[in-house]
Amino acid sequence: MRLFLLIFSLLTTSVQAQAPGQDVEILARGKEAIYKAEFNITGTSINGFLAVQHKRNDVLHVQFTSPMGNNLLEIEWKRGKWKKIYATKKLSGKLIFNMMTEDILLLFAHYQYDNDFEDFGDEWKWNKKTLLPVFESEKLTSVKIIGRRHHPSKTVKYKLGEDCIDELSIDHQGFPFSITLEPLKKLQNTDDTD
Amino acid sequence: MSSIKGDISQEKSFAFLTEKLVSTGVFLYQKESKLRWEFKEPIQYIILINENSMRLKEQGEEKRYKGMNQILRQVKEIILGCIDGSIMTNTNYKTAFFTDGKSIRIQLQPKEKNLKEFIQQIDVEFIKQGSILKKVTLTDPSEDRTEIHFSNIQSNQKIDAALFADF
Repeated sequence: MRLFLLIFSLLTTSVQAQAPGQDVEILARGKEAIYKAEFNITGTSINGFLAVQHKRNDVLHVQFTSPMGNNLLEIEWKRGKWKKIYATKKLSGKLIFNMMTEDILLLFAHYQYDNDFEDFGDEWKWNKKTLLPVFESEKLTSVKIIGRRHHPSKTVKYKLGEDCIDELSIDHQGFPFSITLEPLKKLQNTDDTD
Repeated sequence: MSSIKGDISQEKSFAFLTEKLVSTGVFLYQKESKLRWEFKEPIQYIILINENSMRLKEQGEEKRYKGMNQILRQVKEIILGCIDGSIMTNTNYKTAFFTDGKSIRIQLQPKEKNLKEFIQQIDVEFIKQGSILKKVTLTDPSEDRTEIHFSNIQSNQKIDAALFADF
């Protein structure tokens, strides 16, 4: 009986584990964008720019620079892992780095391209977390992320403009950490990069 | 030259992006060691250097954080050094000079390990006639380049001292 239940649950999981049917494209495949960025880390805010490229093979290349143009962080998400290309001391501590990199995947809803992602309709599962999406007119407007017991939750919010996202943000509950991004250009779905 | 002021246009190229990041603003310099470096778009960002005092304002908020002075000291050394020419005699850099007749380019490579992690090379370009600062190119260790173009340069004009004292 137990074996049957296990097979059944595996079957249902594999059937349901698919990309979400509604519109959750934040930065589509082959697109790039530069965002005004504000990182709030334990009471200190760091302003700068976040340059992001979503390659066709779902590699996510991210770079955070200061307003003076110098590189503060450069990372690449490839085959389910982050590769640290460069990080300043302030951003390279394990706790901050892990939190920040996971938040970037959450902000860009990049988890949906991960093998670990499961779609159960009103509820998604990813990285041992429960994600509760909210849609308005079939557009994703927020995702509440609930971690394991005793782990604080966080919320991603998308401020929708005309045909684009005007602002995306992630805020941790019970921990002073947040990221706010504002695209410098309204994202057009015309130019491609590989 | 007792003072210089002008417009700045900073263009950051990312090795993996086709799009470039352009920031624009103004700069004011008063001899000795007084600088106001102000980006107005797309982020409001002001660096004030007045002799030994250094202040930073981002998006309307004055910043004070650990390590800020070290960053500003490097900014002071590089920017002020390019404007007043002191970077050419700075022993922290290995220098090389190039000219094509119309302009002079000075290539600077930091010698110190701390600075090498932050910047790989600085290229300062002057128009030969009048020694007017034209362009500064900063190359990151990741090979990304930031070009700062100077325009509408005016020298020896009176600049309100308050602009160096407060935001």
